[in-house]
Amino acid sequence: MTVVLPGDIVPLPSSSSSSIKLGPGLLPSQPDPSAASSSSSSHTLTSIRPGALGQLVDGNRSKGKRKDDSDSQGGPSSSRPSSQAWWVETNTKRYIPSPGDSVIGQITNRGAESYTVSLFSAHQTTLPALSFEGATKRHKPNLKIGQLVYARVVSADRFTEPELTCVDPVTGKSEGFGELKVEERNGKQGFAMVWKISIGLARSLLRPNHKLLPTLANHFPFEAAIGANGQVWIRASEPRQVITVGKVLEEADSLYYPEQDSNVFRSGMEVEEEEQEQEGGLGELAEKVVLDRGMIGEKRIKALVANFA
Amino acid sequence: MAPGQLPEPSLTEVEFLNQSLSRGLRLDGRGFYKCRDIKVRFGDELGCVNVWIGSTRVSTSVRATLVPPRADRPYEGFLQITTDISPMAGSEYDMGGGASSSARAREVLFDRLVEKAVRRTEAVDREALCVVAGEQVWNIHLTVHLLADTGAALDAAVLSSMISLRHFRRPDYTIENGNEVRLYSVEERVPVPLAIHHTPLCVTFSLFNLDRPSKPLSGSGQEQEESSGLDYGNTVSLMDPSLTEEILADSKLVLVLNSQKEICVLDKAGGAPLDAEVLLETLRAGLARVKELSELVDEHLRKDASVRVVEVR
Repeated sequence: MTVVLPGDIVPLPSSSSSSIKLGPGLLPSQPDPSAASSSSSSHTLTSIRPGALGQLVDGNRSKGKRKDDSDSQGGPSSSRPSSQAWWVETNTKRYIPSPGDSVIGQITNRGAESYTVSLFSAHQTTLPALSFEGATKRHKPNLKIGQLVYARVVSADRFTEPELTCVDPVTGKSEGFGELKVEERNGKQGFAMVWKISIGLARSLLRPNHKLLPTLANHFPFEAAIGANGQVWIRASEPRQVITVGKVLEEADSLYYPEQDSNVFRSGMEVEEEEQEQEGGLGELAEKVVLDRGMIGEKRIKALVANFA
Repeated sequence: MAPGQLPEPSLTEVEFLNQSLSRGLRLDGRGFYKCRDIKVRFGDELGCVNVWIGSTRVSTSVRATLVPPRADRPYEGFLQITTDISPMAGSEYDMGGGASSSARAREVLFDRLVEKAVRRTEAVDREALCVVAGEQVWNIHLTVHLLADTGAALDAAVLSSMISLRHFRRPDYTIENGNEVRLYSVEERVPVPLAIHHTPLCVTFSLFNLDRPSKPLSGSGQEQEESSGLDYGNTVSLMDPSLTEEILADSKLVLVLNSQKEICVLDKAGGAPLDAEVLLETLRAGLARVKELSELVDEHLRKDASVRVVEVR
């Protein structure tokens, strides 16, 4: 994985047939009139925030394979028009809505046609009252101000309010989205709480192979809804267990955050300054940070569970 | 929700907080009087201090300038405090809501309480800041930046301010030809610490009246004790509250105490009524906490003094 800083130019492979999807943190480079003749300025991206550069080719996850980008020409994907995605992986505390994200929002206002939902970020969003499973003009869900919903971002364009939905447009089913409520399970009242974590950890937890929550689930059963906006809703049968999950999440967030690792980072920077193995030093560290985010060892989880549950 | 307005905590949070408090649990599993870890770090400059209480982070710095004193107080220097809450501290501090936004109100309250705790307690001997009576005095400028607020921001701010003021050293000077002030640079003469009368430190409590009928406690109805008839039923006070606890508390109590067991500030701005016994109990807990904090301050300053070179060569 390459580490980029704001203003860094990311060169793209020159296969012009491929369509490029831009994730967060990258913009197409502004054509520079002075340098336009020397380099193909249409094929570069500029990073607008610091972080690790990620890339996906043809839907295959090839994170950190930026060095091997020659395989987009010679590899098996060369026969069909390949598409690729680029983004800058970084950990932040504020959420910026982007389409397709699953988020946890709080109802802050209700109108006749829609709800206003806060995503705990700069924007408020709309959730149409008909965007629920089985909702009709006559039969709409009745949500109160202050309730939490699990929803998907439909659109997040510039200058307009982002829109949410709680229903899958294809199947018409809720698919797990909707109001986050504490229902009785097996005749027992559950307890629920929402914990705040960093955006990076939330994204990591959403990776299907992330082991943190499954490992924790070995100790006691709980339900979780992870919002990409850094909110995690937890439901368990005992308040202690809910708090335990909160403690584990807090610990997971502090692994590479705030600055206990600044020495490691500094040594990584020195490697970069010496211009030897830039990829190997800082890049490897960045990859480790991204992949290991929130990975607490089983023993530590056990200790945390023993402390509270 | 307009920018600068804190969204009210969700119903889920309100309910869970009440449920867990009535079971004697705090949201982060701490005991009621248990505090988060404190980390203190000194910067390169004298008086530049970073303090973390949990993830709450405050940075303070001090500088000194020579200014003419006020005409009616020719023997007194100034202690000027500037507080700054950047939007980085949390989305609830995002600006844009105008003067009436809750962000602005929080900032003003924060500013006032820091002022009350540090300046109005006369922690710094202002007469000792006089250089030439009626002509030149020291103006000590303390800047407080709240960088991250996860609760008990005031505790961190006052702690950091006091460490800063005790850590800071102003340049030494001599007076030549009657009233000409000659300042010495750090290389020429060892700078002089400020004269500090005492070290007031702040302890914030969040108080919850658990049996209040207005707050429904669903799911734990059988565990509620019968209200004793008084308005303030079963009061629980939490030391070093987290942000959620701070916001949801029925009332907030800010104590500024010093290690000489003096109450410098007792601030309870609104909120639910408070039983005298609860107040005494929190005071006792606060005094114990301030004693710990004072030792922590002393230890950190001692540790820093042992590694920092301020002597001339």
